[in-house]
Amino acid sequence: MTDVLETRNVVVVGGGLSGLSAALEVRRVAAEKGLAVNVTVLERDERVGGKIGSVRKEGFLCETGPNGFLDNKPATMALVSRMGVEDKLLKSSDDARKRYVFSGGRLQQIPEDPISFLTSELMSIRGKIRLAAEMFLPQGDPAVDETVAQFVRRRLGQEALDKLIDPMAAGVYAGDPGMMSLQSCFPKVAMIEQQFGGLLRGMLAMQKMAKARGQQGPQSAGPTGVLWSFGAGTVELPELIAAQLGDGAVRTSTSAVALERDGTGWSVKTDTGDTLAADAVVLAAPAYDAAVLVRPHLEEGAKMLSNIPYVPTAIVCVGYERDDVPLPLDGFGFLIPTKEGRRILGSLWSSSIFVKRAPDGKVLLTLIVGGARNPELVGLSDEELEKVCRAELELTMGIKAAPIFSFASKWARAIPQYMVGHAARVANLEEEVAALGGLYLGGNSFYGIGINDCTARAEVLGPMVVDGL
Amino acid sequence: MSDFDAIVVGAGPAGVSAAITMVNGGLSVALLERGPYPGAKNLMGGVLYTDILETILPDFRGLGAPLERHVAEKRWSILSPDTSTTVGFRSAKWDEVPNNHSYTVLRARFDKWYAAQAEKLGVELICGVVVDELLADDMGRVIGVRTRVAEGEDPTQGELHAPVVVLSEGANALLAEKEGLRTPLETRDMALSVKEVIKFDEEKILDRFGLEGDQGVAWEFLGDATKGLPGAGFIYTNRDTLSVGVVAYLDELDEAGLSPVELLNRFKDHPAVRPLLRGGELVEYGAHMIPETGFDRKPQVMKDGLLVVGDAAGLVSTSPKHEGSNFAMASGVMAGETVLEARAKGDYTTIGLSGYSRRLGESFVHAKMEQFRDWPKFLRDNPHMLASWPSALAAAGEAMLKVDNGIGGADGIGGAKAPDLESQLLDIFNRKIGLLPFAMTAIQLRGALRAFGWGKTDKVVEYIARNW
Repeated sequence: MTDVLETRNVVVVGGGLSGLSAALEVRRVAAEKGLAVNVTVLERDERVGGKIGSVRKEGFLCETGPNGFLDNKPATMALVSRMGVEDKLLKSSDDARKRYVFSGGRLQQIPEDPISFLTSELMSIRGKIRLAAEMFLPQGDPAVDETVAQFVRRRLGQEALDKLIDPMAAGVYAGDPGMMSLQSCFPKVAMIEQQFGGLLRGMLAMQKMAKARGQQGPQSAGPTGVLWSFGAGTVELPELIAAQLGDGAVRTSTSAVALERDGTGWSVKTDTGDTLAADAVVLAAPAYDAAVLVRPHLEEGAKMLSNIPYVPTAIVCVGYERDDVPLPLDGFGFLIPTKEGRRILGSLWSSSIFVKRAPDGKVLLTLIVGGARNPELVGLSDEELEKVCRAELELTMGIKAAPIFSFASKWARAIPQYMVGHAARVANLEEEVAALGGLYLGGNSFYGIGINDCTARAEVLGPMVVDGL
Repeated sequence: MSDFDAIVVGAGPAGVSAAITMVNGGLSVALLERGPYPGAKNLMGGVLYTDILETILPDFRGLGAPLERHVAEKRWSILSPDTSTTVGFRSAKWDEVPNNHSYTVLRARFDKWYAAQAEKLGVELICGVVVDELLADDMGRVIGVRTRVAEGEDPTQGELHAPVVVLSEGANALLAEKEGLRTPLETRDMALSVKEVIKFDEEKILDRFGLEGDQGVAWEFLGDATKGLPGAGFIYTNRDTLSVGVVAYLDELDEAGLSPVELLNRFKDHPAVRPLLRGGELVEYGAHMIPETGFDRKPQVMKDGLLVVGDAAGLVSTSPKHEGSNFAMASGVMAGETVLEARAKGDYTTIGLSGYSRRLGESFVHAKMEQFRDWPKFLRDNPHMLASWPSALAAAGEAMLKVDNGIGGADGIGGAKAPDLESQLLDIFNRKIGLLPFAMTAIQLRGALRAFGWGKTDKVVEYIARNW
């Protein structure tokens, strides 16, 4: 029996996008059901956003984390329109659809359609034939959680792994395809094989369905859709949510230090000396921090949480005079296959993707460094890191000039890695957590690392938390 | 407070190599072994390649390494149920030090000796200690181990602390699994080696295998040795024993309804193998698991405060050269060097320890694992390779070597001739293998053989064009 008059308390640990959007969803769903719910978000840092951060410096806008979100999944767009802040959105330029790979010592465009794939020099003829043979290969065993490398070599061949998928895995997860779980990292790809028997067959079938619905454009298993951000950078999204939640609801510079049982509910102790009573707690902190809070209640579960590995990553933003860059910069940027032996994972051409990311006559490039491939580089000093980046930019893009601007953000634990067996471990953990009651898992350590994954998880958590109150 | 600068769990080749590298770098190192002595848990015997060992202990021969025999000859036999076809290679050069860096060893003896060398260099070797758990701080960093001494009536527990732990616990890798670095293995990723050590007079071994002095033979048997399953049988000559065994995949054994012991007995009873073992006395029996997850399914090898080496890190040789212990020693050295580097920087997080994954990535270990990554899969996808090809070979051998000039036939001497050899061989090929399976296998073989450097047809064509 729910007492409509009594106010329920929900505490969200972690004021990154996951926590904030979950808090907003809880409040929205509760309001729809006529429940009085008091939501509090605790954020350790003095600002909200977590890994998402946008820093304006010397006229450049540097992203410390993700650069935006794609509209091929609905959750974030839906959130933005519910908040009524569509006017703040910033659409990427059409050029940003063009993506490059640094392969064979030069930048090559990733073909966007089958025709340009056939004429592209990116893959050898043998590699193309092998890839096309995917059409006729038998379906894999759905019970086996394959690594990305196992799956891609089985279906598409070695060359597609080396030149297409390995750089993509680096670009999205900064991860090693030989360790990542396909099912958890690229669930759509795994689903297409199981549903249609193969990726090419799946794409054709999906194209047909899309046509039947009157949609245009090719369907693909890879990233599609248009990239969106905000005028003041991606950080506007968590900031807008925090503003809607209101000052009292979001406590920055406050971290949860202990989680204690309190009757059927919980009490959350903060490092500011407060104890918050909560009917429900959403853990939207990184897995290793959540582990500390959970440990007294779930030893195994805490172990699982702290076992989720994070790769270190450095994001280095460098500004140049436009004339110093000998390339048209007509695209999203490029990624680099491991086999090329380079020391950066890739570079986004930020000022080409979004307007006003650099002052007039100047350009901004964002370099991804480290990851599973070169974690040691994240331990370098800013000067050493800039040196590495300059050398790599000269090799990959032919930029000889010195940058006029440079800003590095280093994350010792940047991106959670979904290793093989991840989905099964998460399912176990969910069961254990559910048995406790009133405790919920958020954050990007479980069901996807992207902005859309965080907001989609919030859509799941909202009703789940409210129903449990 | 730390008890040691580093703790190594498991005193196999990987762990001892790591311990020696670190102690040589001036660290205080504890080397924990659950067996009563190093090697007690290891029943493997086989060929030890010593090129890596030589970089760790340059004078390993002078230090009395228990090398059984140097490999003076390698033999390969393909067995069908009642035939065997053998090729061998022997070089007098291999009789001279460094003996092609190949020696037969009994790991129980070798590991004990190897750990003793580490002890002499100052490593604190503690045997009979089981590590049940790694200790971690709030941030999940490994800071030591929880130990249990199983001897006596009530086990005593304790804790040992160090800023870094090197995990060399071998194939079972229970701690690595507990730390989420590896998922439990599927049976298809587990190769099982079952082996017997059979004692003979030394003279008998020399005579039977055509050897003298310290010469030894490494002999592998394919085909019916494993009843056509992917895998192999082997005989290695030790000083006065033979190591005899078979290796096969667990899932294949399951499917074939064979137990490992049955497979081994079948091999030992093969008409070509039985005479080699006649009159010996069984002194030891054991089984050992080989975690063949391969290059495309790598376990994690590091974590804050933790490095994993050897079999536990999935560093297993899938090549026909069986270099697993070489990989293990090399990974131990690389881990040791990384720890020294991390200590100099005072950073034992994954960033500070990342030199290990870089070293592995640049080493021959990863290169070879990558090169041979498809070899097990090839054998699995082409079961007829080890089944119908040996029987075709057997039939061809019989056809060629058959002593039959038609005497005794209805027409007497000078009567009907047997069909000519060429058509007999073609007939055997068609019956036993068939053109389509042959073509399919040949195409895949090209890919698999690329591992040996034989598959680069472009290069071959180029070479022919240039030299013709």
